[in-house]
Amino acid sequence: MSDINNLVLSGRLTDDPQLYYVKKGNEQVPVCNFSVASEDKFGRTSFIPVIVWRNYGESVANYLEKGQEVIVSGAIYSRKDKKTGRTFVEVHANEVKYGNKPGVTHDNI
Amino acid sequence: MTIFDELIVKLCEPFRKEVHEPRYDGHGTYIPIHVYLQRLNAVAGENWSHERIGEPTFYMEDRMVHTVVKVSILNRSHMGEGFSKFQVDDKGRIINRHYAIRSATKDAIRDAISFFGIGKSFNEMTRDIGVASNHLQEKENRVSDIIDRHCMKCGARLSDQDVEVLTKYKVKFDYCNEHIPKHFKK
Repeated sequence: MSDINNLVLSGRLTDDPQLYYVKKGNEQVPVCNFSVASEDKFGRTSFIPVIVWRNYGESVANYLEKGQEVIVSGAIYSRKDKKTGRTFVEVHANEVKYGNKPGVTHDNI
Repeated sequence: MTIFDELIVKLCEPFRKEVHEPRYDGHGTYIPIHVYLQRLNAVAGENWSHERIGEPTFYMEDRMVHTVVKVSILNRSHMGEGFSKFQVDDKGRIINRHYAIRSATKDAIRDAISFFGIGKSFNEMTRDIGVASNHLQEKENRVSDIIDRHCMKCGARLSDQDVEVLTKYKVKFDYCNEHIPKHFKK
């Protein structure tokens, strides 16, 4: 039986999402990367890297923009870079809820 | 009338409507740089030349390259400034440096020849005087006109039709018609 690996976080995008295509065999697989600034109740901000794969990643990259609010649901994974030996911890999103664009607050709606 | 005056009169003749291309943003039209160059070569021939002044300046934060070009027609010259966006890879290295410099140089030529009055009717020229903010906006628009855009999947240069499709479906990334994801067209 597998372990539990579910994660939900909210915050704002620190920059515009990046969209890349990685080659897997003959296929070019879309990968969307962005970072979410998420603040805790003590005012400390964490910057969480998020990855969205395939068609959903293309849609997310096309819609989201820097400063936009998001709610991300997914799982957290680690990977080790073979060249540098560094370990990266990233959230692989299954769902991304689009929030207000920058400059828009709940009060304005 | 001097030779210079004769050249300028011919160079400043209005361009045919057919050569005007619609802007990518759907607002108005523009004249592509190759049309200007054809006019310069046909009318001024060996009497015109251009020279890039100094090295291009790269603004990494804005992802733009800036060039200054001097265009000479007979013994008169004007300087023009050109801008073009460049693309970077995931490590922040510029991947289309040459295209970007060439685009910026062409933009600078266009800017320089506008000081001779080329490409504008008399009415447009008088209208522009005193409307500095419009000039700035126009310059920004021109920058977007000459940017080389390439499909992010196959690297092919985008045609005007490709750009129209992207605009229509509000796709902010660059794809050719063949590689635009189908789900963007829904």
